[in-house]
Amino acid sequence: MSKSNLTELTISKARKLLDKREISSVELTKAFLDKIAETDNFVKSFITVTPELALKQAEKADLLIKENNIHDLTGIPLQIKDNICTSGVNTTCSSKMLENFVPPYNATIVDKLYDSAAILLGKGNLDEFAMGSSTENSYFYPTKNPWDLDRVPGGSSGGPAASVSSDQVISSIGSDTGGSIRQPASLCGVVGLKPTYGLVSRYGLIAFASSLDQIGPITKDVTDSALLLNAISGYDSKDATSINFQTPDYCNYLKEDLSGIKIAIPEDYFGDDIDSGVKKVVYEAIEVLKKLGASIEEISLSVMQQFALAVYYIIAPSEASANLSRYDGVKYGFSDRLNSGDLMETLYKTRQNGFGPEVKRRIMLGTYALSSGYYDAYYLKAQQAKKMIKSEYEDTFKKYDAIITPTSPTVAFKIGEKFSNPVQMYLSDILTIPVNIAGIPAISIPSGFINGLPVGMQIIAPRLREDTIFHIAYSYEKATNWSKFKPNFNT
Amino acid sequence: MSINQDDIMHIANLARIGLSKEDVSNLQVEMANILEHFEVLKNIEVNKKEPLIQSDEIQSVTREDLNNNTLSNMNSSMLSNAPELQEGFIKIQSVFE
Repeated sequence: MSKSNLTELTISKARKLLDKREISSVELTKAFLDKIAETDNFVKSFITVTPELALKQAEKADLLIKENNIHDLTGIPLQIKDNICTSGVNTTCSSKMLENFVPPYNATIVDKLYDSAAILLGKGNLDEFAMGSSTENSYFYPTKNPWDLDRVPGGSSGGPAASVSSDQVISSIGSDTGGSIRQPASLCGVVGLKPTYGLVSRYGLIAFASSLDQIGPITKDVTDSALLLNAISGYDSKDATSINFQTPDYCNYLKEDLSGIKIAIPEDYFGDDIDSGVKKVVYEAIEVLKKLGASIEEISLSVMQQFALAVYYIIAPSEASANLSRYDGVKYGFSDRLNSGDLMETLYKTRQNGFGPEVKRRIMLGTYALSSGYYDAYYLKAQQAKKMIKSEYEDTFKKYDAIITPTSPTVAFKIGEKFSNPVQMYLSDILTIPVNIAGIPAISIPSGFINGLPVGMQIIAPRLREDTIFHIAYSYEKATNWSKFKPNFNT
Repeated sequence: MSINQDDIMHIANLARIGLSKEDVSNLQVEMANILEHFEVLKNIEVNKKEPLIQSDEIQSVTREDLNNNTLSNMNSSMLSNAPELQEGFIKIQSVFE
């Protein structure tokens, strides 16, 4: 098998070849490391590549395979977003603040992946502290969209989405606070799942907005998404918000027939603020679902359409302002103490020079929303609106199995296009943030192209109904061919 | 919602972030633009009778107070992240004169 064929493999296909001993994990890992070396000067999706660790892990995995001690991910090379702690491997959050931070422990999901003998190829680029929708807020460099290197890959998991799309890795693990898995997956033409809040442990995920953050897989197809969710989900006593839930084998729900499935299409999310080409692609995708047996009805979700953006940009910065107060230049991370007179000056200067503009903007916004005199007008009202958004979903899911919208209002935009306008950038997330506010699951899957740029469809389901998401997503994927298209970038 | 430069300085002080003059004027414009989008929340009535955060969502987690030795194994890797060390302790600037 040629090298390029190896890097095009999905987890499920690589599994078969590894189990039949047609390829070894070392061969597979080397093919990906070569691909990274060839392409990452252009794509810039990695912050750290870990070739020595990866090859050591691959040798071990090959031994396990020889002994027939095999899990779904044994010998499978993955990337992990650089805001998830990996013991002994730099975890920077794409921030100057954590440029040299080496975690003393693994995130729970990293332990789980290592337990099944998966391989770590390296750490993926992101917007600093996962704040952003384009990966342009990375302290190190922006990641490029493999479909057009002049465009953004989306964000904040832009590194993970771009690396999966350009075959630098089989799959990656991202995090999603307001769309940070789904929007880049949509813009890069890959599959991105934000699981139910609490289904995947957040232990070791560097906190941005703790009530909204969730870890999830970014993959080449829906089957791999189910395989990875199987591996990383489950109760963890180290995360106080972890759900004690007996997770099923999600691969059991990869079924093709959609008869009996009731899908709601919210007209509010197909309005003037959504690109007409994107709407056309998603409407065509809905027609496919109809042919597969699903029943489709139009509904309205006017409450969230009206309030979700405001709620999100109050709650997320408020929590961020508290979470990021730990970066004080004392115990770990960047410390601007050389020319500082005293401890207080060090604190101010460390935070002034260690955080980038977007992170400071959000800390300021959150501090403002929580400050005396404004708390009732902003934070309290946002909490009330959050409750209303949750009930709007609950009412909808009494009648329907799933809701479908586009994932992003536009295809990938040009690097620099929205960078200087924070509000424009925030609007990139209008279709994905209501899902985080309600704590429910959603996936973005490839559903077509506009002028060579991918468009994603978002499937939203009730709390803990990832099974429904996989069922619908898998049948759609089988009926279409979008996941098989590859970007053809010059290297 | 209008926001002036004194407000910006006050918030920066609460957040312990140093700002240059340029930062202050940029943030004043940017935050005013963002806050405009929050105006829509004015239409929301807060129902103070019902709690806003449902108690069944999150329960306190407790564990036995046992030393599982993980911390002592991590000592050196944790300390190696500190900006400055002296005799195995994290060094900071003095708090009192």
